[in-house]
Amino acid sequence: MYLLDGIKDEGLRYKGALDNNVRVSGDASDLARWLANRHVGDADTSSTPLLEEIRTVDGRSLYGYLRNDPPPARLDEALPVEVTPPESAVWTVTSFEQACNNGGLGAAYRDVLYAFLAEGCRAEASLQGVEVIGGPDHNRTLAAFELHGGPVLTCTLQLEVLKDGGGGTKSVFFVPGQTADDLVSEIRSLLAGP
Amino acid sequence: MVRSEGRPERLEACLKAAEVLTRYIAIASLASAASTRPECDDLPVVEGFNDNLSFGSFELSIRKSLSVKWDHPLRDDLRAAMRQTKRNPGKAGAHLQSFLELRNDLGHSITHVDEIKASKLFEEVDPIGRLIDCLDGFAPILSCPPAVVLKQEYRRGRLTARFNFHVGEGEPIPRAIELQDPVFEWECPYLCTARGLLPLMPGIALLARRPGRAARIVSA
Repeated sequence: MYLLDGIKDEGLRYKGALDNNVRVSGDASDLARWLANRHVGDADTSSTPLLEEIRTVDGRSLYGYLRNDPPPARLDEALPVEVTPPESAVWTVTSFEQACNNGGLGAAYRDVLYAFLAEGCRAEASLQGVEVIGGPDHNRTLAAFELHGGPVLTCTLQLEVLKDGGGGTKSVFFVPGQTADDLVSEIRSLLAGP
Repeated sequence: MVRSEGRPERLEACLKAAEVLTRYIAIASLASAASTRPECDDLPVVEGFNDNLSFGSFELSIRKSLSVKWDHPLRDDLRAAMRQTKRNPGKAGAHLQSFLELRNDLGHSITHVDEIKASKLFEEVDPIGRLIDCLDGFAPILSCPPAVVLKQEYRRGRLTARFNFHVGEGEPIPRAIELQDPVFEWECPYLCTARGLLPLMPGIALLARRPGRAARIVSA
């Protein structure tokens, strides 16, 4: 990496960041794009963009891609996705999973659900979506899944029923592409007990 | 700095590291300030930004860039690092100023500084601690990776760019990323910020550009 070190008649002088190697390149007028007092002659730098909002193919910024941020919900995914059951119909476990798949939320939904199923819990359809049933008497609601527009998947944990979970509830929201690893770890730890 | 032996050499290494850090942050901040400038506002004026560029010119460039009226990608991070308020210690700004004063006091050939004087300066100034504070203060900017596009290809409706991300100490390993839109320049350093790519030319040169491109390398 060479950092700007001087402005000379023959060009811009750069010096190595790690050594004292020197290179000369470019033109002093190039600095007119950054500094008011460096405008030289008729240098035209207007064609070069000063900020490029580059997006990866999944819609993330390059910065978001490098930070491994979840991709934003795409409009063409969000609009046609059927995230609610048809009128006069109710969810089934299968139709809810299919709706999650359509919205790009299937992997997160299944990861969370299977964390419960592996501990002997069962899934049942409800008016709002799918509930996980289990607990000491195998008949308590431990968690509830719901789908909302966007699409967004909500998982609400009933902490008063889950072992060592304290009181109240906890809701976790998922958007397409987001992983459920943290929630799965938490559920396993809650179900495993002390 | 870690490899330097003796206090005078270590002091010189601290000063050089502070100066390189200042130059890098100054270049990023000038690029950031220019990137979103409204047409009705003027670019910053940095006095003395001419001929042999000094430590002070770059330090002043940072201060000018964070003081502009308009919002820009790095402005909040620069202000948090440089400006001292009741809530914000802003240590980096004060420490860069102290490094600059120390450089001006000692000059550019400080290896002659004897061991006793250097030890005294280490006790009084704590250059390593101050440098760490500067790195911490500028961490949000330093965590934005510098990137270079090596090549872009558009085939069968897919645009793929090969990037080098200059992070860490080793040579970067090229990484292919599928993009929605092409990057304007290749073989040109950019800074990846949350608001987009900031071109770092003409402040930083990473690669010798191939013949036929705009720049020329006349000496090495």
